Amino acid sequence: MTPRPVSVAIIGNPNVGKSTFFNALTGAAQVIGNWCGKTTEACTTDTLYADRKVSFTDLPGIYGFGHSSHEEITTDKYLHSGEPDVPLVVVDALNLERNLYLVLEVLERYRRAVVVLNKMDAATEHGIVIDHVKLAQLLGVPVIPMVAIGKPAVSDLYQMIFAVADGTYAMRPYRVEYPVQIEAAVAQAEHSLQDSRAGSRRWLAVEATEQQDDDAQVEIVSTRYAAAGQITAQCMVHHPTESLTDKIDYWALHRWFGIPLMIVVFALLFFLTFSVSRPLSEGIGDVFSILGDLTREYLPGWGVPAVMVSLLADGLINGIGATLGFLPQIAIFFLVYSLIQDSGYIVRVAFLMDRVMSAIGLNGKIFIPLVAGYSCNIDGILASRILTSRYDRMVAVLGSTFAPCSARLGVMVFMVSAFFPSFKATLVMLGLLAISVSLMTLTAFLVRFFVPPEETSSFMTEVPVYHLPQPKNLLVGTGRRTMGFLHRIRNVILYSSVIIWFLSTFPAGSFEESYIARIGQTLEPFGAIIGLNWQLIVALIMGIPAKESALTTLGVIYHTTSESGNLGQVLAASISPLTAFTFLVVYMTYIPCLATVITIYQEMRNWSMAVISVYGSVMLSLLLGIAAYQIGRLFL
Amino acid sequence: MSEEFTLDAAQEQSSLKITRITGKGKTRLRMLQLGFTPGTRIEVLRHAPLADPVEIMIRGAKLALRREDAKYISVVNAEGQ
Repeated sequence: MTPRPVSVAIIGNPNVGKSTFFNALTGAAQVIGNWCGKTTEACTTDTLYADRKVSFTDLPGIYGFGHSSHEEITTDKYLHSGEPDVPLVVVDALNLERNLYLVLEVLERYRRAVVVLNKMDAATEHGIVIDHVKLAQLLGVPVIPMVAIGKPAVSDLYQMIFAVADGTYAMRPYRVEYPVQIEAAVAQAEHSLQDSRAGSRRWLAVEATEQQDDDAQVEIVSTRYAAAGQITAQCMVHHPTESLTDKIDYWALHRWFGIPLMIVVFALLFFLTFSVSRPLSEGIGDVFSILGDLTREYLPGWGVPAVMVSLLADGLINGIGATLGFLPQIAIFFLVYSLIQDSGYIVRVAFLMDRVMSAIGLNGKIFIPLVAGYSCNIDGILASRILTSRYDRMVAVLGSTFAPCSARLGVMVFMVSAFFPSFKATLVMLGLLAISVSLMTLTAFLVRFFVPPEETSSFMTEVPVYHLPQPKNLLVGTGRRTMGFLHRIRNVILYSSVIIWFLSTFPAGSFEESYIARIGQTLEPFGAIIGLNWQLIVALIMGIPAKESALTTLGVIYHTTSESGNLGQVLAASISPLTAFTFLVVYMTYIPCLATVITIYQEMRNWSMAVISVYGSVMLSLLLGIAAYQIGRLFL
Repeated sequence: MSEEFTLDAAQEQSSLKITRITGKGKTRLRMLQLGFTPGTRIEVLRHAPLADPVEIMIRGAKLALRREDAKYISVVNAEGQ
């Protein structure tokens, strides 16, 4: 007989290391399935441990079971869809008292739980000692301390999960006793309850009482917190030390040095990305260029038809080579960005910038999705989930598409360095970045016309202690990102380079006669307003599915071989710097890539947002292109 | 007993005690959940470089909040108490 499967809901405050824990947990067991609920947005992973199926559902970080945020609503929706066998609460040892508040609410609701005490090692460093045996006694539920997540801890955890699910653990859940008048109201509410599927009758009655009036709400929350405080006092000793976090924050949040330091950090992020990745990108480009030459040289001799040789050398090798050139950039940007984010510095950035953002009615946290957009617009859109108000989310989603992502930045850096000497190149890049920031600001103003201000979005954020992310986690994340990029090459770039090659090779004859040239020439009158020739127009069109294909297209159109010099030299010889600049302005702004447009639809759950994004960005890019070209002509 | 004022007017490095939470709805609930309950001691650590938001220490944890939200938290000085 197969044992009964077990469902586990992972609950916890934001920032307690829930996801790391979740990954390690499911990584140590055999994963047999992985899916996200469409209506609940909660992701479930099925594992097999000791021949028993255990489904873990990772829920968003919450402070309590109210409806005070998007995360709480999502969690509640999931918990209403079916009671989990085991509620597992991940607790941050650095912040025991507040985390226990949620534990007490879980116990009130389910009368059972497994508590995982996370970040024990960091707590020790901060002079915090927690007696987890005592804590388990006080709470009346199993408490499992996690130092390093290894096999033994995971095995303990599964044993406890089974014990709680099967009812073999002698559960004595802590019960919060409220003041007399509250208890009377709770008893009365309990009496009139009809439905108790979503949790214990007592919890539902407490919830109902809490909603009756503000005074009762304060009493209930205060009583729970008083209990959390008493439990903490009995099992925790804290020897305060001047922590590294305090020392760093003295400078990082300093009245005069905080903001300049932040600018240095971001400048360093981009500098590192480009200086480290450039030689690597060039190396990859050279390898593919040689590969193309060898193909052209030897394959005809082996009886391969000329069309096939051209398809391989001019289409596939050229296209894939140009795209793979971005790989180092994406990997390095993501690595350094993850370091800034996971270390806790990004919260400081939000703290420093909130006043600026609130001046245009935005939340300081919006800085996070907008900066993430510079890595990949999809990251930006996904990161905008941290924002609670509809207005902030819309601005974050639409605004982050104006952040030139690492693929676009790659093309931009390539073109800028081909056309301008290094000092001027830096200024041009900064100018382009300034345009992207202005467009984000413009987005904030435009969205205001359509979304009326609701309840003020608040900026109440934890300021976590700094920690050095584990190299393993950083590398795994970076690896996953890089693989995702390679995956896209297979799906998009492969086809688009073959299509581009086909359109530019057929019908046979001179290149100006090819299909692609004809498409570009038809559109040339439009391009003339912004000074773009048909080659550049074709590059823009081909960049729609994936932005980096624009460069691939130019590579194919301008037929680069090792004799003609690299693409940069060929381009610099064919078009003027002003044309190149105008092209970049348009290129940076027009239509986020297809994958981004699809993500907008998925996140906002309506097509109109995706359409607005595409339409708006095309219009803005044309206006900016006209401005750049016509104004530039006056000066050059 | 010193005079009651709201948290947005507090000086940097001051030690305070919460007297009551005003305000409504989600913001109020979020504040309570974060541990802003009457009688709780808090410390104002610093103001952001552009004066807003403020960073405070409550129940051993650091939190940042805007002055417009801090207005809903009434406090008294707890220096030397």
